[in-house]
Amino acid sequence: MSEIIVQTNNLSKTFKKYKAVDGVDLRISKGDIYGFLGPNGAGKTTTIRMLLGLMKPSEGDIQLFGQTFDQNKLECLRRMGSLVESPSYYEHLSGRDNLEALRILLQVPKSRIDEVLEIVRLTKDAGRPVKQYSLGMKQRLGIAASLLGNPELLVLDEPTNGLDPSGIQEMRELIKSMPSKYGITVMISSHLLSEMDQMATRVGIISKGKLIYQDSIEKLRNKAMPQIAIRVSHVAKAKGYLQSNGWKVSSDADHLFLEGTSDREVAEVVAFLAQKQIGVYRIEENRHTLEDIFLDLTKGGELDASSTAS
Amino acid sequence: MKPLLKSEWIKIRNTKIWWLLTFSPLLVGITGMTMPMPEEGPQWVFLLSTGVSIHALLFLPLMVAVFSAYICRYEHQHNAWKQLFTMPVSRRHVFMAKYVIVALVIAVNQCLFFLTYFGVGFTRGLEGAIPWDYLFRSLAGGWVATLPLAALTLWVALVWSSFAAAITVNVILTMPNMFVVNSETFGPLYPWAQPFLMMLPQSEGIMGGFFVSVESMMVAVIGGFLVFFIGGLTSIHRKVV
Repeated sequence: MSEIIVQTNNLSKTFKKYKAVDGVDLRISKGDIYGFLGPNGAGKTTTIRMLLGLMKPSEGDIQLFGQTFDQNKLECLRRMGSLVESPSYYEHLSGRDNLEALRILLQVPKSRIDEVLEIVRLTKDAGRPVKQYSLGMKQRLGIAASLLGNPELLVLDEPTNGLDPSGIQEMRELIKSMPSKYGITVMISSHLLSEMDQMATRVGIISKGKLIYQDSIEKLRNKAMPQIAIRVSHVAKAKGYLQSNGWKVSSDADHLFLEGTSDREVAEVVAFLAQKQIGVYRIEENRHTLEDIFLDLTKGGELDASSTAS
Repeated sequence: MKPLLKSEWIKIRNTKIWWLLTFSPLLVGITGMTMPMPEEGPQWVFLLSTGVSIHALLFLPLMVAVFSAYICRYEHQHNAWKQLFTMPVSRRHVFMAKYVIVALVIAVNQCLFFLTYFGVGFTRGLEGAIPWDYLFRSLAGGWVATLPLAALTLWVALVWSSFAAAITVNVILTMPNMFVVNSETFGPLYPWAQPFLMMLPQSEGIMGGFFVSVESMMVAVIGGFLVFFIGGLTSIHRKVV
């Protein structure tokens, strides 16, 4: 087990009576790209704000780098870089001066500005006032700012918001390279699973303030096993036959469903049904995408096989 | 603190806000050059009284407010607070750094006022001795008297994200100065009136004697400063961004 960088215990935030974040226990290990997923309004940004000290938790505590955040706030912040929601910037300053105003606070050498500008490919535009920047460039400047202090932990809240497809692709490549190239642990939030699928090593899914899933992305993928749907003439009868022969079968009005079935088993089932005089009309394979699983999880239910037939 | 001051300087150095500093001295200069000078009496003191009436009654308190609002405006604009507060700096130091900048800017403004004053005085060849004692008290006193106001306006600017709202409220509260400065009771307590009261030469009573002693003013100034400064510090510490 590698070193835990982020650990929250029963982290909660209540606004008036509304629980925006409810007992969240995050675990992020060194070198992870942790995808923090959830629909809009699920509590992602609130959680991240608490991790960055922008907001005080109502309950629970935060451990960063093995230290209690509350008591070592400045030291923890020194080791983190962040980009929360829309990028912050001073529009009247050039890109370079924006970074310079932060560099002085982070007390890193001046050469670091050129390095981060190079990483986000803004070197050419560094002298222009930021008010002339496109949204994508502002976003990249925000990333540059987050990298400025050589952080060990990078917290990015919806960093691909407002980027065009090539920008998203570029951002993804950049983030993917961070653990190996710079030794940075990344926590990245998104409401799109597809985005994480190509990037994250671990995922946490938050819905209505509660963390409903937290594990490696492979485990989540395994939930996306294909399902065989067989349309038959007599569903109830067929199901009964199969079950009494030891098959695990579920059904709806006119389909039987088999989970995780090999080709040979499908053939056996079909032969068996034909022998029992049951008409087999159609055999289909339904695949859950990660997106389906995500939607299912965030709907608040357990995985429900029949509802995801596509 | 030092990095924060440097960082703040980078943010404010190349802005148009500096032109505002020339406004009050310019007006004082024009008035000083064109107004009729009394034949009798200490002309330097007369010029000072006139200049102070123009500079400190309205422009100086407004200047303080505008600078306070401006130094927070670029943080509000694209929610740069958020980024600033994730830097390894204490929020209270952020407030202090901004406060120091505002206070320094006012000091520069005071100096410009007095340069104009000397410029006018020497150009017109005023008679009599230069009242150094008054001048120093006026320069320093005026600056000290803006310190509570600077803390108050910075506090307001911090809480209100609207630049226009912060300025408007200050304009409205600066207007009653003309009446308040003549009130024995409210004069020393009204933060917007304090710069004028502290800058105006007393004793000789060219503009009519004031009832307010320096001692009671200092109590009001220090008290006001403490209340507003601590208020601002608490507010930035609790600020949700």
